[in-house]
Amino acid sequence: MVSDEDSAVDVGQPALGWWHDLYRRRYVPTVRIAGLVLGDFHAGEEIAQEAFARLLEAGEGVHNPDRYLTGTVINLCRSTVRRAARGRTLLGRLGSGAADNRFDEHVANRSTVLEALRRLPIRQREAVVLRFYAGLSDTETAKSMGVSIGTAKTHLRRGMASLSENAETQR
Amino acid sequence: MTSSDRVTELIREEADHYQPGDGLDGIARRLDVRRRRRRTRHRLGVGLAVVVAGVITAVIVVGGGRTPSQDVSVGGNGSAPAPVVALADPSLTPKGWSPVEFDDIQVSVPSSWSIEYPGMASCGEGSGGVASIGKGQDLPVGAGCPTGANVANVVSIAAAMSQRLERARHIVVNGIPTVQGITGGAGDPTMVERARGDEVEARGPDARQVLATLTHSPLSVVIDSATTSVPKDWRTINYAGLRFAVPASWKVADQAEWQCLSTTQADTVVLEPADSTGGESCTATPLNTAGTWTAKPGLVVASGPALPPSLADATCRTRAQLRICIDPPFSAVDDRPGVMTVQIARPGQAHPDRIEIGLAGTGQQAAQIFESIAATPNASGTAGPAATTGSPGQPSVTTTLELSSQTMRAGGTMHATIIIENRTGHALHTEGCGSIFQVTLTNAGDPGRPVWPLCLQRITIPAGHSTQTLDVHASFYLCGASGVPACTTRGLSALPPGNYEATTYESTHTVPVPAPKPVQVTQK
Repeated sequence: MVSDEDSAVDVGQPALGWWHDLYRRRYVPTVRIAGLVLGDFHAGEEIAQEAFARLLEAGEGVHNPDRYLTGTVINLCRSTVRRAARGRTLLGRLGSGAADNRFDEHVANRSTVLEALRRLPIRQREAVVLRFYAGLSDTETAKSMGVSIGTAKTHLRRGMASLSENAETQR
Repeated sequence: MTSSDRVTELIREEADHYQPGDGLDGIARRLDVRRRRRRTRHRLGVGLAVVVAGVITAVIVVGGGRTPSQDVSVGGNGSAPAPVVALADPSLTPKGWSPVEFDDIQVSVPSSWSIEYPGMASCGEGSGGVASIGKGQDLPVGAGCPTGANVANVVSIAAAMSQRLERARHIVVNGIPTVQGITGGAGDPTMVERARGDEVEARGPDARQVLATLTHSPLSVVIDSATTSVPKDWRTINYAGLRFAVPASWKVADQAEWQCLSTTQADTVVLEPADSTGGESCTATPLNTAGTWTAKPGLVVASGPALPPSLADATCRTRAQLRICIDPPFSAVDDRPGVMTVQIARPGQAHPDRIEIGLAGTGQQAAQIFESIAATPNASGTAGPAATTGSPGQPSVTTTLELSSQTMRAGGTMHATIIIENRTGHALHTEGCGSIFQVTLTNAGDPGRPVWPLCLQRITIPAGHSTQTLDVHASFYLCGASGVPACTTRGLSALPPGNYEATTYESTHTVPVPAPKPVQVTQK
């Protein structure tokens, strides 16, 4: 039997409206934040999608969806970087140079600033991206990173120093 | 402008230059994967929070072809799912047709149609149509099949992809909320029906009729049935350390060896010792027609070292000391339609047992069989304790170990007798070398695993009462290996005095092994 459904729930219903509003407002910036932290915007899309999926599952009980989203993205990025590091270590043990070659080639195609950003330690990258790209305050940056304000500022200062030094040498 | 501002500006330029695509489809897929994992874990006995149905259904819609001009709506009213599990509806399969199931959904196609793995694209030459189960990477439905006026009947049933649907609309088909639409444009349209995270793509003269047979898959019934009572009149079977229940009318068949491929037979429990594989190899083989692969209400239980050590991508949980892994549908080349593959391991078991449950009918019977699976009391390791087949009051095969003495001198030998009561009414045939049994002395520090001689003989266990007499040695079973004494000129070293258990090992799992018996080894 095939019948039209009368009691349909539209995705635009109020119950999910908050999520859609946030999606429309924050999806693209979230992709870019994750892309900058990872040095790979395609991977950034994956991270952003996972973060929005988790937010949807967490539901309206999340006190601050914006902060939840940013915090989730940062955590997912760290996990991704850790997994990648383990993979490189394993490949190194196996004596395979293939992955490293691909990695170098990929890096060479990036712009200089992204390359410099990519070479920063992960925490410094997070601090720089959240503070200067996402436009978060020092306090918000620290909360999203799960560190104290002082620690966040230290990461930020060191990261910007490295990037500025790099920019100077490129002139 | 400071260098810091310059860096910030450069980062902004680079980032803003990147324009990501719409992420809704990807989010929907991720939610669907998480939903499936959650359901499987829940089925395996781990209580998890139930996600609000409205959230899930809304996301299915997101993945179901939402277009900018039209918000597709979904069924349900946002409340939690009903506690009653929706069964598969066999009455939706027309006469002369056969069900084809994948993951959570099932459709029916004419029995003469070919069943194929994705990408084979033979277009069901001469069979009237083809149904492809599972989807290859970005492979369109019926790739390579003729198009246009003489379009073939092609159906694909697989996990939902993210492609956009034209003319998407929400309708309920046989009680299941679906999103229907078309892909491929006006020149070569394919009808798409998405439901429960899966989709059916169909084209050809029979496309509409196929889509109208949509129902829940028996597999989804097994997964969704959080608790299922097992009918009291079912018989229990103990095999290889596992206990399970099946309808009393089902036959029990002993297979000589593991057949590798699914061999569910109607109303039959097939017990397969997997000490070696049979003639079939575990590689992809051509499938057949839908009628041939119609699911049968049967069960295959295989146990032994020839089984693969683990299932790829399986979802696993521990239930009542059993590690139970459910194989995702069509995750391996030897997967077959209509069969649920479960891998079960007891603590310390290197090669998990493999159970294949036929997914026939409504799925309720398969759910009850799955629910009944448990460890045989006191089972541990690779060799289970004494096991039986048959109803609890009247096992069809039992074995008992009798020893000539409960004490023996270190380095000495005594006789052991294994008494077999075969009440199956027929002889059991298997293969081995000399005897399928060996009895060794074991204790906590020494498993005493036997070394099996290399020959292959046909061995028959007659119907009724029979006995086998074996020697039991109070010596190490080998020498020179790690953890055992070095070889001596007088042969194997004597076991140190102490308390042991006379443990029976069986090379074929043809009959249950008897319970161990205590033995005290004294000084020479």
